[in-house]
Order: sequence, then structure tokens, then C-alpha cells
Amino acid sequence: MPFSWTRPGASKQGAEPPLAGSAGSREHLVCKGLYQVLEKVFLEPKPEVLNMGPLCGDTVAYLGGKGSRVHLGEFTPPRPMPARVSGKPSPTPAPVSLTYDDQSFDLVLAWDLVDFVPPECLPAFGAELCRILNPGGRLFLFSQANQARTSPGPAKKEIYDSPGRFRILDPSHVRIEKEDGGARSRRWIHPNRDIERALKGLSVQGIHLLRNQLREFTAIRT
Amino acid sequence: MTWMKNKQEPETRPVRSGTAGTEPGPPAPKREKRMEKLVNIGQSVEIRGELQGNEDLTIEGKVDGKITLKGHNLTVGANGRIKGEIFAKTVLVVGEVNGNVAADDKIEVAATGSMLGDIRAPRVILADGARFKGAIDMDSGRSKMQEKPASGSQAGSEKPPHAMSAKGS
Repeated sequence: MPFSWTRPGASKQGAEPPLAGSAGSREHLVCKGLYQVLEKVFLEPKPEVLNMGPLCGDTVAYLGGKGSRVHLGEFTPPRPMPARVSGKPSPTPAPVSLTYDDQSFDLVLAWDLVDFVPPECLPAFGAELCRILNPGGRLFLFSQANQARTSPGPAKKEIYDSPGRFRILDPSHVRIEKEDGGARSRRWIHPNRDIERALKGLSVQGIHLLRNQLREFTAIRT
Repeated sequence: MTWMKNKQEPETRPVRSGTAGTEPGPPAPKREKRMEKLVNIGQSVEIRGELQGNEDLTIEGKVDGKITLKGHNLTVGANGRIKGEIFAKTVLVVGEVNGNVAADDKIEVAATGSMLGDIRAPRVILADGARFKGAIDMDSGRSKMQEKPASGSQAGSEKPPHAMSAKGS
């Protein structure tokens, strides 16, 4: 049975968008940052674009139709570091590697994958994103701003969710779709400062908080 | 006075007699044509080597080698496994393809399809849920098949319009 939840004071006209973690949810976003990024990237003659996360055919068709060369690849989030046990050597964070050459892309659309990277692996993930970007290349990613939108009910210690499928409807509108029964992995809420530190090789151009409590980060490799 | 025409229509219809079965009627050639268009490489067939043809092809078996269907459609069925480059007019991938694919018109990867390789076509349709790793180039200017020209024997040979050839590796 689909879970339904309405926030107190929600408008009666439009139904409250489903929670990001609920099954089969769809959510429309108005993305100012994405518009700015795409506008800049498509000025180049044939930009190399990496679209991470679950495959969305419409997004690929949109990006390809604008003249970019679209690369797709699956990304498996690293496992969180096991808890430290007294008397044993401290565990090391799982390695994060993207199987692409250095300076390969003009744009990396990481969508919400950063939320599935454990905090201890965040610097490595940021370094990898920086490595594969061309000088002047741009990064776009989403991140949840708080836990309330990812999980219904009271706050939980651990949230399990699946990466969304991001469908670009037009340069400033994106639809997030999540399917039933997808493989779920732990989702973290990273503070702004942690994400900015992880992207230390990049210059963060803007952080926009969207209406559904998603933050959109745009960064450029200097 | 269209109502009068309607009334007269049944009278003008040719009445089929029982002898119709003895004479070859017009539907028979149509069926033959349809049969000719359906060319399948069955599930138990395994081909190693280059595959060329001048007709539409559906592959349900395994092909290890380059496939060239100039101006024709290729369907990689649910059980089809291709390892090698593909050149065709349109390509539909329902099974597995491991190699680069170039099409003059369209490449479609169904939800059950799995592709490992680069795609080059003016139109690309990727169904949600399909597995894909590689790059997609939808630049129509470069989408024409950029394969090497065929050898002189193939170019000059007068093959029937529906011909398929397989070269062993």
C-alpha cells in the first residue's frame, strides 16, 4: 500500500510531493543551478558529459540532442567503514574510484550520488570528481539538506534509500523518479562544509536550496 | 443520393465461388514476402566471424564478430549475445551487446537490454532500466557509418537483394 503523508499546512490544491524515500515517487524540481551550468557547457562545440547514477533515457537524449557526447556509467557507492574495535587496528575507508581517465569531461552530473557516499569516503569521492574534470569543467550535484524529507516519521539514525533517476524536462526543470523495490543503500546528510571540503580541487560556484530541501551544488574546476 | 449507392454496393461485390481455393489467390505471394523478411539467427546458433547482409535480421543466438547491415534493421533479441561492432540502419537491443554500435537512423536499447560500448546514431532511445556503459554520440553529421570500405570483391559482386554472408574468423 503506498505511503501517503501530508505536511500540516500543505496546500489543498496540489498534492504534497511524495517523500524521496517512498516507493515509486516522482518529484518536480526547478533548478536554477542546472540551467546555468547547461547554458555554459553547451556553448562549447562538443562537450563531454558524464551522467552518473541510474540511466534515464530522456536525459541522455536531451544531452545528446544538444550536441554533447554523453558518457554513462554505473557507480557503486563505497561501503561505510566498519566500527572500530578496541585492540584492533583502525579500519581504513573503502577506496573510491571512477573508471575514467584524467581530465575527460566538461560536465559531470553526479545528481544525488554524493548522499550515498559515506562521510569518510567523501574526500576521495570529491578528489575523483576533480580528477576526471577538464580544467574549466563543471560539476553539478544534489544533496539532501535535512533528514525530514528522506524519511517519514521521526528522525532515524540510518536512512536507506536508492539513488533517484533524474529526468531533465528542460534546462531548468528536472523530475526525480524512484521505483519500487530498488536496491537501497545508506544515505547520509552531508553538511555544506563537508561537501565543500571534499570538492577542494573545485571552486564551488553556488549552493541553492530548493523547495523540497534538496541543495544543488555547482562547481567548476579552476 | 448516397443512400442509394449504399444499397447497390452489395450487388456489385464479386461473389467468391468455391473454386477460389483451386486458383492461386492474391494473398499467397504476400505471405511469402512476409516470410522472406523475417530472418532469424536462432537461439542455438553461434557465429564467429564477420556477418554482412542486405536485409533485416533478428539475432537470438550468439555472434562473435562484426555485423554490417547497410540500410537495414538489426534486432538483438532477448536471448541474443553480440560481441563485436555493429553497423546498421536501425538497431534494437533487447539482449546483450558488447561492442560499439553505429546506426544511420536509430539505436534503441530496451529495458531488458544491456550494452557495453559506444553508440553513434542521430537518434538514441534508452529505456529506463536498461544497462549501459559507454558513450553516446548523437551528432548526425558523424553518424553515417564510418566503417572501412568493403573489399573489391564484395563491392562488385552481384548478390541477390536478400543475401546474407558470414565470414569465418
